[in-house]
Amino acid sequence: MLLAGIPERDCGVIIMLKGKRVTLRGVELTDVEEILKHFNDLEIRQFLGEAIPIAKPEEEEWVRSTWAQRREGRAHVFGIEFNETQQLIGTCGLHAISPIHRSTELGIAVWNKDYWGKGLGTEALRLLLDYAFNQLNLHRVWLRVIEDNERAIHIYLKVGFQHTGRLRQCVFKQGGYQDLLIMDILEDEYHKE
Amino acid sequence: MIRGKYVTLRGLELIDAPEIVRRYNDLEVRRFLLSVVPISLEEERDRIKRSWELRRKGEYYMFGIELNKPKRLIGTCGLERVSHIHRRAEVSIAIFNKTYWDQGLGTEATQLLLHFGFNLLNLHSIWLAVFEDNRRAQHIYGKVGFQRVGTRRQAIFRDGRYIDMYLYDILAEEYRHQLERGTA
Repeated sequence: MLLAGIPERDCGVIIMLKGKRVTLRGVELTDVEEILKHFNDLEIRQFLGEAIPIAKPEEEEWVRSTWAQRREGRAHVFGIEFNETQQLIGTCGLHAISPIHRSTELGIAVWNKDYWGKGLGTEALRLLLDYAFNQLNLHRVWLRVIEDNERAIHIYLKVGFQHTGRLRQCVFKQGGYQDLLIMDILEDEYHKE
Repeated sequence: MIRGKYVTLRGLELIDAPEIVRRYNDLEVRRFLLSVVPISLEEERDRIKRSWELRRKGEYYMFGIELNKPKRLIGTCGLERVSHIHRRAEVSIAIFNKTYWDQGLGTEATQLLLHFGFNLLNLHSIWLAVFEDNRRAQHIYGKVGFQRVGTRRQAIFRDGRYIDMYLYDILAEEYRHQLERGTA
């Protein structure tokens, strides 16, 4: 039986995650313009790996791919919406979900710079971790972060991630190599927080 | 491939279809199975192909039960309706070759399935439904650690009357506990 496109076996999953100041919701095709406006900005992209421009159809394809991956339980991608203005200010998600090992890679970007420094990314992160551990029943959430992204590392540590690895000179950006840090949090650590 | 002392669980191949069709198109074999509708060779080939796809997706793991000596396919079994969020799956099992009934082979196949589900798929709960009058199967499920947890009343129409289905399940911690005690 299909209920709103969700296989019966996985019913009971909450699709929209409401926080005090931000809400995580699925991304729609109508979001593409707003995403690209910010995403094709070098200052944003310097923390997110390759800084190569993206075209609108490419981004639309990406939005569609998030729906398919969500249906199949391979990834859960959300837009981060600011509650006060209902404006989309970023995206985040749980990627490469391995159901047997119950592990997922987390990614997050508040790509609208006007909303930096207000703790909104922290709240989005907490909503995402709650979803990962309490709804998706995962065992481990991990992430990669470039070593010079100190603001992000600070937030990850604050919500309970540990720094568990370093891939040396893994990322080339703006003329030089940077290390990529691996951080992770396990379910029992999360529940202790 | 999951190897036991007497039987091995292995993936099904298209060449298995004729033996499966021949054995399953027998009402005595189907007595305790959900469907009494005959199957054709082509349908069975399609079902086997579909099982490969579902296995890739992690939704359904279907196995053939092969006797180790002599090497012979004697039944099928599987973990169906795998839910990764809830970490549970349903057992289905049938020894379709009647020559091999009552020799403990179904018991071993069920134990191998539990091993696969709990130790390799990392499941939390494994459940099944069994006909109220299938005493032989109920005995096996109890022996390998399942508990009877409920009844679906008049769930199946068979031979002119409705019969109940008993629900059984086992949790990962119970499975591990009985392994430690050596009772599984």
